[in-house]
Amino acid sequence: MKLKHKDIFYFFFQAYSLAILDIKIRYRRSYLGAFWITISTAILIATLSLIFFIALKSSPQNYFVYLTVGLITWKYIEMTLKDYSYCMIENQQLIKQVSISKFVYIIRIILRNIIIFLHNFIIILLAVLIFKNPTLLNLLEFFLGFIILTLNLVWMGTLLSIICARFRDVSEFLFNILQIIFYLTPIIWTTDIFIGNDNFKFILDLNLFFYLIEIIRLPLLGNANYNYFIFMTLILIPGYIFSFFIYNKYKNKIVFWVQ
Amino acid sequence: MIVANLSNISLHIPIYNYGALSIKDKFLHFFRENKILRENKIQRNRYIIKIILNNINLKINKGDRIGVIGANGSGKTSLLKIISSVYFPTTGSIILRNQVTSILDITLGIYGEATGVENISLRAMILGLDQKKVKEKIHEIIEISGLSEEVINQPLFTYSSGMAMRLAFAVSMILEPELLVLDEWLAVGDYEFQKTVNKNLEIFIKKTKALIFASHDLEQIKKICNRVIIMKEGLIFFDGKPSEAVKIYTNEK
Repeated sequence: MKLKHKDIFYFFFQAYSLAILDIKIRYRRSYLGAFWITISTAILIATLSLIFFIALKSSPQNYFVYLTVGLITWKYIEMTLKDYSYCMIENQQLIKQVSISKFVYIIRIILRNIIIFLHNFIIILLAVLIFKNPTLLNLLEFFLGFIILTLNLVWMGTLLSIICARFRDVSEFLFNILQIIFYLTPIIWTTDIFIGNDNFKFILDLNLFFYLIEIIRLPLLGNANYNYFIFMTLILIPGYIFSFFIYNKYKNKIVFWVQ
Repeated sequence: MIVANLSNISLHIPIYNYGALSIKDKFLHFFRENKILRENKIQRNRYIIKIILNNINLKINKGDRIGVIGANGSGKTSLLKIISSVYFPTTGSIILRNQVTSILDITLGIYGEATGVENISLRAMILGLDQKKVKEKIHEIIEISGLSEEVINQPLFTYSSGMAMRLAFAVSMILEPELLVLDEWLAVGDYEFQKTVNKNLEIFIKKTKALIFASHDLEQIKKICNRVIIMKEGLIFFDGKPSEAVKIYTNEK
């Protein structure tokens, strides 16, 4: 059957309903609901900023904003990729029974994680408004960065969800890799440690996640780097071409992999 | 008028063993074992291909009420899944002229934590229904399900399994499918569920252009269908009138 224009809206509608369901089910039985996400993140940031403020001796206000934005963005990236590694297995009941496009499940996960990010965004907003004076341009740059980041996560997630449906141990492998990337990426520590030590700067240069976080964090710190924006936008092209090639090739086989 | 046309359909399903689902195994296999195995011409079976359907030709015409019978594992459900585009045939082609609505599992899209009303719209969404229509017909759905206003706003995990099935069934009843695909679930459920099914199914089937459904209940088949297919080991063994088919099937057994 050919895709109709209306169907694409229906895809998003289906994905959105499922994403909302996920959030509702997860937090229904607690009084504060989904704001538990916000509270737990806030407590984590408060604890970390206290410890690392003492250790790193940088200016406290700057560091607090730096950590808040970096950590919340990282949580968004990490949770999304982890969710994607279970994407098809989580939806196996539906995959085996109805012919909904697999694309719906991919969108379901990103929407769910965007909703969680929006809950955490309250902390970012508070931190930035209290400690920084963001201009409108800064906020626009931030939103642009967020869109580019999200689009990047979708192509990565598409690939990941297909690979993880075929090979079940990739998700375990991914969790380990993500943990290592967390320490290799300047989230808790700052890039200042490379001053006068250029030999190890390749850790940053080769780290895709560093750029992904920077396109969100730098605008809010007031010094957006447009090169990063352009770089991450250009990555989208091969990313989407490759992942849709894989998606198209294997989408009909997924149902056999999740039996 | 032909509603659906299946020509030369075969379905081969790979069944993987645990090693085949591991990327680590794949790498190790490549580096360590490959050479030895290749030298000795040993092939390790990482997955087996099971032939589920073999060269199926089937035309579904407008007005057909097709019953599918056959032993367990004869390929009934797989055939229905191919018509519903859940499985894609390994070879052959399928042409679907109309919108297919399939209800293979009656409890699909039923979530324990969500309330009855939420479940109505979720299941409707999964079955591809317009939400506007659901809102219009929500009273009708609740009426068919026979659940009280109080119960319908409670989470599903407080329901008995019969109640949950009645709710799921009621949602399906507002569909207006062109080609309807039903699996064996009609015969399951308690007495109350059966009563609901018997009361509503006939009206529901009348709305459709064509119906194909699998069942072990020969009486029900005789009552509903005007054409019966007997499946045997992935092949269509017989295609014809219900009374004849039932005779052949029972003698065969």
